[in-house]
Amino acid sequence: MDALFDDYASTRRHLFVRHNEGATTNAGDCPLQIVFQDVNSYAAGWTAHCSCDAWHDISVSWNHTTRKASVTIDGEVVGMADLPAGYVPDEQRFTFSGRGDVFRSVDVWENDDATGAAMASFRFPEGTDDLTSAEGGTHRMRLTGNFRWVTTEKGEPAIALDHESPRGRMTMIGSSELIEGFAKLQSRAQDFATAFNHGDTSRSDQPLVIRTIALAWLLTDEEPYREALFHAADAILATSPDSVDDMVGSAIADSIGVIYDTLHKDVGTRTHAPSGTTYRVAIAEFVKASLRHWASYICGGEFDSQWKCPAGETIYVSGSHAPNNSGKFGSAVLALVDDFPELENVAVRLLANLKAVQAFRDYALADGGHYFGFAYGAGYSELRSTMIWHTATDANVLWPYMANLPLHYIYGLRADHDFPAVGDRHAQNIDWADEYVLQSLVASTRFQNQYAEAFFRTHQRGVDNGFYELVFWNPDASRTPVATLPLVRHFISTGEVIARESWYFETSALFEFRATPYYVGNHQHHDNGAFSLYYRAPLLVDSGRYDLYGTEHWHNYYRRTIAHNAMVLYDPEEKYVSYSKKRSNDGGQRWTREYPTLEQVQPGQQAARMGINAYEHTEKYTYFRADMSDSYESTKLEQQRGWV
Amino acid sequence: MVWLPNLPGTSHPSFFFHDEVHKTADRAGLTTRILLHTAQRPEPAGGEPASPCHWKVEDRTYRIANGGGVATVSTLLPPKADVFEVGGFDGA
Repeated sequence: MDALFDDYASTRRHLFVRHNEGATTNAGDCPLQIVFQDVNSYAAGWTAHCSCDAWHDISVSWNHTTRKASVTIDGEVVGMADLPAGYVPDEQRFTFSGRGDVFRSVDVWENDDATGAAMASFRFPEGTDDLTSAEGGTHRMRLTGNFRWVTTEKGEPAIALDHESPRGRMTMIGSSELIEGFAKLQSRAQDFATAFNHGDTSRSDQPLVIRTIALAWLLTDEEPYREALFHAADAILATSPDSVDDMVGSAIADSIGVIYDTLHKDVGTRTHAPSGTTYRVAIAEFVKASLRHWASYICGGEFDSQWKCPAGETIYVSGSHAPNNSGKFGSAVLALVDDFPELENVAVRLLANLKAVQAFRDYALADGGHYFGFAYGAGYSELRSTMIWHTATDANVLWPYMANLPLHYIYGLRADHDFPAVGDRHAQNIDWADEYVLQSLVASTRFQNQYAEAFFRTHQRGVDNGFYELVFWNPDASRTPVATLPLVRHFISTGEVIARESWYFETSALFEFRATPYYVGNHQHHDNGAFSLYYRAPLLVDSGRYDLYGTEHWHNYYRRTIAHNAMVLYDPEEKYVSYSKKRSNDGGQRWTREYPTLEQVQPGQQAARMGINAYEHTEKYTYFRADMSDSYESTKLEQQRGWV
Repeated sequence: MVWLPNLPGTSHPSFFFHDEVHKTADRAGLTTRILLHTAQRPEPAGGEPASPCHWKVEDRTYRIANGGGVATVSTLLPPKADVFEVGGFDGA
């Protein structure tokens, strides 16, 4: 049978149309096989008989809510069927692949009745199977999800599609998924390498950029990638630790560690011109200088001459930059420690720091939520540093909480690809952040979270740069559609409830409520009892703008109760002081010490809050109760049932 | 709080909040305020506001629209609660 639209594939949920010549009844009959394919089965299928040598208008539709599917040919319904519960053809390949002598064009409209201007118009060259965009160039593409149309193919990025349309996503199709993944990585790596080799090394402080070039070099041995890494090394080595902040300082240490490891055969023989030493020596000196400069984030004090930390010092594990920076320095130290064994004490300390913060995360993030919300929650999950230690050592650094992290993003994803504005956040978008991809793939490949795998394949694959997809390559990973999850979830450990109207991300209303059972500070807001509502656009919102961390706006409004859909009780006698400075009196929630330890967030301890204390979910209703009393000063609100 | 995905007579989910606030005896005179932040200016569902920033009690149902989405908010209790509009060019 000749495929016309997509094709038979037992591993994907999709629609395909084939010319079923075996079902021909007479000389003028052109039977079409039209199937909604499920994994290893047909969800619905029909054979429709069309007359040959005539134009036909074929319409296939389905409704996720009613679970009805139908086929219409020339305005006449020729088939209807019930679809299995939860079925969504969300792994569609948007390919009109066959019969180049028959198909001449494909036009794509925003609406169902093909009126107005087409979003895109593609023409088939005679006798080929490929779509050709209106601007020229040949593309074969896949449609995934019901999201914005974007392209990621190498070369010409624009293919006459409305990039603002929330209708779907197009990505290049290769002869295998592995080739597609590599094509994405190579395309990005070439862009980065070209910039570096032409003097623009401004992205050398981005660890994922360096990793992308490094992996391309390891896979291809192509010289431009190696040269690009050396150019990045030159830029990093020219940086003084005291000329950057701690986040950049640790990031470039991470990057230089990846470069050292990737170019290990070369760094001992190639000369670093500015220092006159080998890159091996220059990089080691740079990393050591950085470690001493940023020692407070690792040790809470200074390293001694043996690279040991002061006895008795502890680092804050719950919210500060310490765990983040420690994780990034881990890349550098692990890359160097075999050649410079004096750094072993640092490695031991970094691993201890990682395990300490993982223990905190394992308690606080057990259900997948995050007290910093969706933006900072992605980075403050320690996955990147975890995977460094997991792959480079035999240390046991995989913790159960990592299995559930993607659930927060699955439940929180809105039609605009953004998430509820919980905690500090710049504009977020699931298409931008590789941390989201990392979360899904760690959960899928290391913890067999089948929802995470499904989420990655339907919402994330195609928009990341291919690095994590290749590193975590597992084509056999099982998946379960997210549409089989309950529409409401209680993230118990973070005191959050997210309720969705449906699993149609494009149209679903989304309600989010939080009453976190502890106060950590930093990027967390004083917003217990607050909620937000989204339907087609934000309706009830977390207000304020994250202009910058620590600004007057941030201290006096953005992170405060008054910026949220919550309760305020203005007491003119109340005083709010942070960083030794008096702040505005918003009548909101009280402050306690930031960065508590694991012991301090346990119920009854100083950083604990009451949070959600009852939850009941059925198909007809979801009920929950939260007690925010101890989020306010005891002078004005009763501490039991003060606000419930 | 109750989330009702299919309340009869509605085409979209509904949710109900029941807040209880108990102030200390020393601060019993403080005013409790429940805040709702909206991206666009809310509109009273029935009639005009008494003033730009203060709606009549009987107008405690209001409509919040943005980007094609709409939420209808009703204050059920207490029966004499005031609803104030704050913000925007006319806000206080």
